[in-house]
Amino acid sequence: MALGDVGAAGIAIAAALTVLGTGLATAWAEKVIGAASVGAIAEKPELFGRVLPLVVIPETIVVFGLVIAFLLLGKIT
Amino acid sequence: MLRPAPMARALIVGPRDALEPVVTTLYDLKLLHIVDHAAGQEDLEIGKPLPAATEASEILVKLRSIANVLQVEEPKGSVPLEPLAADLRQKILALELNISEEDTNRKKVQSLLQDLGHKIEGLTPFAQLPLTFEDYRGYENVEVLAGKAPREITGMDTVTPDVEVFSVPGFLVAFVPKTKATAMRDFLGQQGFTSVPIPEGHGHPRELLAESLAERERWEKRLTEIDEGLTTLRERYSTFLANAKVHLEIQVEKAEAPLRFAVTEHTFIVEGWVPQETFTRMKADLEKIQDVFVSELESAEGHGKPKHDQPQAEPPVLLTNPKSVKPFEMLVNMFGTPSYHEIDPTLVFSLAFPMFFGIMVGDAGYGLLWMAYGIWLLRRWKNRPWDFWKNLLVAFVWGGFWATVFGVFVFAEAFGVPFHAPVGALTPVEAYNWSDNILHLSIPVYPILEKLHQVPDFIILSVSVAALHLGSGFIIGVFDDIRHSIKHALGKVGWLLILVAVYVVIIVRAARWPLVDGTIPWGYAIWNGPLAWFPRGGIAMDSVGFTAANPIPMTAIYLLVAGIGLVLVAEGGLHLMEVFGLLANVISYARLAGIGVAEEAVIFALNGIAIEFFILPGSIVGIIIGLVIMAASNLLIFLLSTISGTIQGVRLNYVEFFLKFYKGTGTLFRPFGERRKSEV
Repeated sequence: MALGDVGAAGIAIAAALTVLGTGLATAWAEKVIGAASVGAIAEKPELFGRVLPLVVIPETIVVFGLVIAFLLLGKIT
Repeated sequence: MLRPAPMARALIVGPRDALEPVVTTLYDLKLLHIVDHAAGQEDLEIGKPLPAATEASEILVKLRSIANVLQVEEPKGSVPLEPLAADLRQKILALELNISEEDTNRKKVQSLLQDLGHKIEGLTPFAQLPLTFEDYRGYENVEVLAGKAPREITGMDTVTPDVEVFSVPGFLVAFVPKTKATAMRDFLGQQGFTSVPIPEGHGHPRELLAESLAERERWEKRLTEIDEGLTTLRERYSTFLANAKVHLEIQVEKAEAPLRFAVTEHTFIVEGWVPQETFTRMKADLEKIQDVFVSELESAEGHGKPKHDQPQAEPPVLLTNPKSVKPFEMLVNMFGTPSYHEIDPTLVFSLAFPMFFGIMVGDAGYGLLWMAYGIWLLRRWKNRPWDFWKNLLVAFVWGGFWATVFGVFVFAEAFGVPFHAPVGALTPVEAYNWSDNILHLSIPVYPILEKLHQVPDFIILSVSVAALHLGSGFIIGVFDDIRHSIKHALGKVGWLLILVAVYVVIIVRAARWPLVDGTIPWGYAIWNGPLAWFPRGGIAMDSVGFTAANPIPMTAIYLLVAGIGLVLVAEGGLHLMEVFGLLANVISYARLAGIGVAEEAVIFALNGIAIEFFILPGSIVGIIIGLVIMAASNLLIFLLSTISGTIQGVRLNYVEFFLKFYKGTGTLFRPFGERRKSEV
């Protein structure tokens, strides 16, 4: 399927929006979890190991965004 | 290596007279993980501390207070235990008396100095005025207003012309008639004036100030003397104190051990776990003491599966990994200690974590840097105990090793500069490389994956890593579960089948990703290489990209159905939701590619700025600026990639890998007599 310049631009913008949206979502989610985790660690420092993965869990969202963005960019060429 | 050391449950019985020698022997053996006896359990009470306990704890308290005053720090590493004088108690008591006196003196002098400080502060402004103390007092109709004035105050004569003012910058004394005093105070207050009390005294304040200053000097000298005395004491006694502390803590721990035993009127009973292979040694040593009997209650290995009605029968876990794998136990324990009945995942972790780190960092320069720095630091830390940082450092050295391997053979780059000019490089800056521009000889290694140009391939590499990693997790899960429930093991087999199906479908779809610069995409290479055995032919779905040439393989669909069937039978319908979770887990590994590409992109841009300086026919100054920029930006990316490589590497293991099979509910084997760093 041949894409015009306009179509290609549309896809590029869509890819950018995907990364933007997922990035914001990750940041917001990590903010909430991070604040709660620091509170928990202050009470019980040995919880660090349990809490660290919880904090980075939302990072998966932005990874999904990255994958989708590359799938979209693949359509341009 | 994959299993914790087998444990035997030991029961030690003896007469009460034998209590002390048994405790001493157990402490020296460091073999028994005591199971605490709860008071009243089986109608047996807990023991009383040995008589030495009270005295030892009393001295220990005194010693800690001395250590606190002298600010003796806990020595790093192990204390060389010197033989202590027999009159330990006398020595500590004498020292305490001496030091508490000095300490009281010091506190007294300190508070005196504080008072003097306030007095001097109050006197200083008055000393600058040409008035004696007598001038401020004894008026019937005049009020004296003295205080701080942050800025110069004018116009006081508008309140009353009968005002006499003495002032130095920042300070002011006004003599006003009593009738006008309130008005004057209000006026001054508006100008930011705050009044201060007039000090007591006779003569000129200057004399009193000089006197106070001299006094302060005297007391300061005294304080220095006291501090010097305490420093001398600290230097002389710090080793003794550290030694005595360890000694006393051991004594207290020994003396309080009976609190963990069960006793009757004439006998005592100790229960605990001991590594199977050392049971005979412990038994022989203990039975040298008269009338003491040791018997093996049960061998934990013998009863095979955990009995859920006896949770206290779970033995402690002594991990038995070889020295090279041992440092990774710390990272596994941070998630949870393996339970006695499951496979210890440390070995897989010790391979997977550094490899993930290596893929994400993916640069020969940073890899070599970590290896060199890590090995140098480990040599320096020879005598340091195996704490968090030392264990982590070993993990970094291994990570550096894999980063070098991937950096050389897969990505072919060092410090963000490629070995050869990338395909399709347009400008000299983009084409800048080790072979042509720096070394002037052709490095015989070419990249098989260029991070910035083959992102889809990088993602496929990550997904393949995911399949291997998660697959090994499910396989470990099968072996864990098969010991106590065939049904649960079948569930894990079902998940393994689903994983294979999902992976194959992703690879088939990726096999026809657009070709970049004429290279063969990795999906295509894997599908026709390592996965060539997989049966072809299936359903084409054009709308989502599975063309007639690349249909979804029927076998993958069968595997998926079979896997779902097994999960349905073994774990129930609710768990089927997890299929999407598994898919998300697989894609989650794309972070390996994401971080690799992101860091490469940043260092490529920063290096580009530096390279401009090298390429332009410029002065030596330009080259120096370029080198500085390059060093700074490489340091930045080196640190950033280490941080994200560590966190994401740990996360992939904790969240994606461990949650598939690992319980981590064990307790670590802590034999009686093993000293941990005490908290003061």
